[in-house]
Amino acid sequence: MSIQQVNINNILIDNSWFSLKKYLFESSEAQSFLVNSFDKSGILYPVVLYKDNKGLLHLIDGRKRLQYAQQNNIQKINATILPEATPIADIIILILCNLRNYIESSVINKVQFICFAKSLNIPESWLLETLCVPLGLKPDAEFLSVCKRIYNLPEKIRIFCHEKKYSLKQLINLTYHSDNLLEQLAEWKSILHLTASTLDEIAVNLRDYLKAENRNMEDFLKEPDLLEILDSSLSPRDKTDKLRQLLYLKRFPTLSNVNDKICDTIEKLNLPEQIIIKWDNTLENKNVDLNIHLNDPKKWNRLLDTLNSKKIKDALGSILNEL
Amino acid sequence: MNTFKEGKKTVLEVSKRGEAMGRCATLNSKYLCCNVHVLRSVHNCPFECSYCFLQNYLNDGTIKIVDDTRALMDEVRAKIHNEPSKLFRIGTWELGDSLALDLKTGQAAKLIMEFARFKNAVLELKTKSDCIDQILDIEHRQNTIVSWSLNTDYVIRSEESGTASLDRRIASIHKIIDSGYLIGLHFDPMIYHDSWEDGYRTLVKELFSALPAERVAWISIGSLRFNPEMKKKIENNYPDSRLTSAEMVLGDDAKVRYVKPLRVRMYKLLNEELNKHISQTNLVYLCMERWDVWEKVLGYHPESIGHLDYIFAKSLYERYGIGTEPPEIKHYIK
Repeated sequence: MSIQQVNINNILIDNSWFSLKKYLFESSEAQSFLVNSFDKSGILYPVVLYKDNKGLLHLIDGRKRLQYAQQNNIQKINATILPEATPIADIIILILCNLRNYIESSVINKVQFICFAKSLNIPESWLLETLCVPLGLKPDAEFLSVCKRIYNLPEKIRIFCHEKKYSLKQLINLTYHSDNLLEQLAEWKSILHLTASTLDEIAVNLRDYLKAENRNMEDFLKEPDLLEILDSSLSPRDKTDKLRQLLYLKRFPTLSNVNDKICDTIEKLNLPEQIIIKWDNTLENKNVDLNIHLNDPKKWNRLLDTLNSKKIKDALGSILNEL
Repeated sequence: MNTFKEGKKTVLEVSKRGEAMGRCATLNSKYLCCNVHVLRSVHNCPFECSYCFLQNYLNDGTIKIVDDTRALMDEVRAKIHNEPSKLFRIGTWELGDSLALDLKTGQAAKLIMEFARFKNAVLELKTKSDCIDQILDIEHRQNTIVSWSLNTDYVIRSEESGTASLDRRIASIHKIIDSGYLIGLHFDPMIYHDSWEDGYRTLVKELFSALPAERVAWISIGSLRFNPEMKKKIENNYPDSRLTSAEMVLGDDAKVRYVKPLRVRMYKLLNEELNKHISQTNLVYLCMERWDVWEKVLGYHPESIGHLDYIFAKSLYERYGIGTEPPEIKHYIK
């Protein structure tokens, strides 16, 4: 296949059938590294194009080279043109080989690459067997619809998933939330300190709370205790902790209330630090554990006296009553 | 989900494979089980209860009915003959509704006639349907207890798609009692919802308005519980359902259930309502609950699963003469 000089205005870039712009997230480091390389050595390699049945030229590989050419008023560029008869599956494999690093840089990129391939009307069996397996994904019959659900997540959330290197399971979990909720979380990204697990916890508790109370996001955003946190001068990390506590309280009011009562009871005892009272915070087990840490045998009798006091016995009785 | 829902439209008759009789699958040392046995003669159910564990349990969505009654009964006979001094309660409802498809399959009538011959076993047919006309005239000798899973009108309409309405279930209960059967009532799963107190009060009042409590062999109370992985299934399959958003915790049996204070409140309310209509001799039990919950709700707790099994046998013998001789606890506690 010979290399030809092609006018860059004749090349479909974003409208190319093979444009990955909507499908892959990449790092800004790679971008600047390449620009430096072009400045130094020029464009060394030809771009790869596909000529369709109408003679239109679709860019397969070389988007950054073309961007560089456009920015530097270079009119013509060397190109290898694949003929119309080239199987689309072969082109997908070619792209996979060229961009493997980008595609494999996150699970969401892998999933989005599969969605990209599916958009080219490739048979599902080929996608599952030839594409998913080499990408380290273990597809089942519903895998492609799972990929579609993930791809349909709001873009800001998908970018977050790319940055935080979400696993497939974490991505699937996100698809159970409404767009409305996810968009709100994306909105909060700038003022909170969100990790994959805190985002998931906030999303689950918020969704369940809204559903349980038959409320919507707009109602929640007006709640004074939420506004107090969001408008505060706390650091993003502290705001996040406060928000998590608030949502837990709203999601688990009975648990919070009973556990608070137990904590109060224990606090009022003013126990020496060597005595620790533990209970099952889920309230399922009617059971209290008393732990004694002893590092000085002389303290033994005093600890026993404390344990044997009416105050402790009453408190334990009251805690067990709550459980 | 579509596979699960679509599969329910296909009913297959299959032969018995492997053991069909076993223990109820929910045994756990921290939660008291009533030690009922199950006969897996039905696999899957035509109804669509949003909380049903089958949506996460069965690989194959189709409904299967074991058509080989003789093989089923041979297994039952062999097992109950091994322990002749013990009364077995055997239900066909573990993996499906005992009667929902019975107009098509006729399976229940065959089982009822077979169980009528046993001296140490009773059959429990549990349903949310009103498909009972085909068994009204069968010779049952009180060895079959026909049970209904009951819930508030709101829960039936919002979470138990395709099942008989409460009115139709109550009408069927009266017909069954008129045919001389004993009945069982299962208020399980109790579901927390808006106005749940009024819902369950009304349910009990309507149910017992003309119901002879002495014909009620047993009454169970339990609350919504499911494996954690079911949460997403339910949310995915029934996005409008609010079931999974209630305040729930993971128990020692790896099932998610309402927080204990809420469960106790729900059970107490129901039990108090029941006590307005039933007598001391009626057997009320909690399904898969902790001993301390028994204490808080019913004022006592069985010592063990075997002890609860014995309480059943004793109640059935003393109230209805079921079983050949007064049950002895030693046959139930090992």
